[in-house]
Amino acid sequence: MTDKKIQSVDQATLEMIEKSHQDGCSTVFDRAENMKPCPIGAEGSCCKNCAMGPCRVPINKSKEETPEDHNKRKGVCGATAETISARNFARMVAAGTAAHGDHGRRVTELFMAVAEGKAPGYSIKDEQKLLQLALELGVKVGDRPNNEIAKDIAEILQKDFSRQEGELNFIKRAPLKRQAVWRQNGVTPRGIDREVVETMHHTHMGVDQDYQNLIKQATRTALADGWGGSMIGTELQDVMFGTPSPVLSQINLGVLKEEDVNIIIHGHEPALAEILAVVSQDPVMIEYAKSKGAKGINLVGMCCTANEILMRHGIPIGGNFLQQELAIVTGAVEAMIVDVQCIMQGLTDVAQCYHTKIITTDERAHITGSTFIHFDELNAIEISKEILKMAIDNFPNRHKNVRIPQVKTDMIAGFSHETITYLLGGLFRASYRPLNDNIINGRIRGVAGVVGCNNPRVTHDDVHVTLVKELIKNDVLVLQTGCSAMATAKAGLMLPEASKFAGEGLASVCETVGIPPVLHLGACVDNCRILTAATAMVKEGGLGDDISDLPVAGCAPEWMSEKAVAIGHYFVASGVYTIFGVTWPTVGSKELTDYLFKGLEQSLGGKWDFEIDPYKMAQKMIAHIDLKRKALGIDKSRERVLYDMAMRRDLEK
Amino acid sequence: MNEILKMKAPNRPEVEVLGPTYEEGTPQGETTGKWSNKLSSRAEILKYLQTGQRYFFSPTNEGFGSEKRKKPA
Repeated sequence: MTDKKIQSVDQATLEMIEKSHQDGCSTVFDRAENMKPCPIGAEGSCCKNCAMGPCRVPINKSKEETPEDHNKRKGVCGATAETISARNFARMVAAGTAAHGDHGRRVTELFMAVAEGKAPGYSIKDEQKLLQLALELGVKVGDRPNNEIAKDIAEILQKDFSRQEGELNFIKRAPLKRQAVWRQNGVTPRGIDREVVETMHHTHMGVDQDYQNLIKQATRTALADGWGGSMIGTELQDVMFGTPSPVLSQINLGVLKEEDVNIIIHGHEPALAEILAVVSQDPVMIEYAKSKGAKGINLVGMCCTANEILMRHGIPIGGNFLQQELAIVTGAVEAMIVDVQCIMQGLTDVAQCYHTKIITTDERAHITGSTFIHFDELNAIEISKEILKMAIDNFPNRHKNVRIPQVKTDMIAGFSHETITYLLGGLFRASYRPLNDNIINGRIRGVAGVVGCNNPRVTHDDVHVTLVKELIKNDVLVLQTGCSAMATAKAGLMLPEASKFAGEGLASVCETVGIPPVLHLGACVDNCRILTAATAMVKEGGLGDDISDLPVAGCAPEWMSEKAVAIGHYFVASGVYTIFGVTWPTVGSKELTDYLFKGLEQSLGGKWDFEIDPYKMAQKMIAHIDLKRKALGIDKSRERVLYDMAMRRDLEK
Repeated sequence: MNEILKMKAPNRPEVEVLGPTYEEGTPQGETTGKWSNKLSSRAEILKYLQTGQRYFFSPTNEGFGSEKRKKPA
């Protein structure tokens, strides 16, 4: 009897995998069974950067490697396993940074168009965030109209993409000590595009052949993601679409409605989804849907676009990354509208088993076999109506083979940095003080960021949910984004009632503030919100003077994309201990792996780690948090002493 | 709800404390949770930002909180 891996801990997912088999339809779960990962590529030991190769330099796992063995592991050009592995790692960081950077650039272009009044359908919804950015970037406010202020902000931030020298604007947001660490190490990013281009040059055949220097450039590039492309994207989206605040919604495939036209919006950039959220409520469109025999229009999110419209409109989420094909398997989806990132080509094959139309909308992301409708943001409403109409017209083509799993969970999302500040102190005392105080007094042991993707190489959602439950049980407050957030939301951890899973200290704080022990901070591009929150914790005081002093840790338990590597590396470069699960892409080089896991800490204060088991992940994260608590002197309770003036004067001396 | 609960307290007999004061039920409506709507004018927003987001708008470049410590952490 074979010991077959459980494919998911999510009931709706299992039900739809079974249905896909009944319908003779192949999904990512089947493809993962049939296609094992390439063992040489998985460890970063394959170099295909020139036509003298591809060269394979795999490590011999069956015996301890001697220096002679190691010396033989070289490519045709002489590149060592260290160089090859570091090049591959750096290229992953560059690709991830390019994805977030390009997202940020598109948002900035739209923001400029909105400021100039050229994008009907969009507006500046959040004056508070606009003014916040104006103050931060030194833009004059006075009595100037919002669009003038916005134009100045757009002009300043646009330069961050093409800047050749100097520093990105949001670098100044980081704690002063962190900025100094970056400057001392020569890793402060200049321009977002420049860092990506330089990494591609460093990793070209015959250029940079020192693994530490390759990682230095990868670090500079990753920082251009976290404190550059991602942060610009997130901040400007907030101004145009609204800074997230708490919102109640639902998640899982059970949010699809059998009698409605079901439209799924999938991808990452929220410009189209924002307009669809409005247009799908248009009475004319609803009437049109009724004329085709439906009761109404049901807009549902998938992947990170889902997080964006969930946080701002309460639109329900169909599921996370590994559920994208399964939504179609329900047989109840008229159209899946996609833009960029994390969209599987397998969607078009699955859609052929049913009636679903796959509609691509971005000229950067066409898929063979899909219908392409170019989404022009300057003509957003008309194009959105055209797309909706196409979906509605498809309703009568629905087959009889419809089964929607009756599985859905309530969740609360929308905990931006700004909202956390407000929740902790209200309008008059908005502050991180209560959080810092409760970390110092030990009710909250520390804070963990648990983020990232799904990966069919591990049981879907299992590692996320098990890890997060273990962390909150040990009084660690958990901040989440992306598909990881969706996994725990499906498990009911994003409700205030989830305090019952938390340790006594964390539960008491959550109940007092009225928040869940696991906070949803948004899409994967919004991981920069965690950087901002960590910076606010430092600046509030009492927990050291750098992010690397904080009792915090990060984790991507089910990662799969290059964006995840870029995100992980910008957290490490910002001083955070960061663990990845599933697989580690540099195990082909022990020297490089040791450098990432130990050496980097000496210069940057943060380091990488790798662990598959969620319980051991939690233990490692908690051990690191405890180490930081000890360094801060808050590892044990102290007798409280009321200081009189004489004692204070003594203290000054 | 204004329930009074009896709780244990250190070095004291039972004390009476105010119980949960939340409103029961599920919040409804588009404005639920939109706390920033409470700030109606630009002047109010700017005033709030200078306190609520004080971490990022230092009048000087000295930083805040622990950043200003004389001895490193």
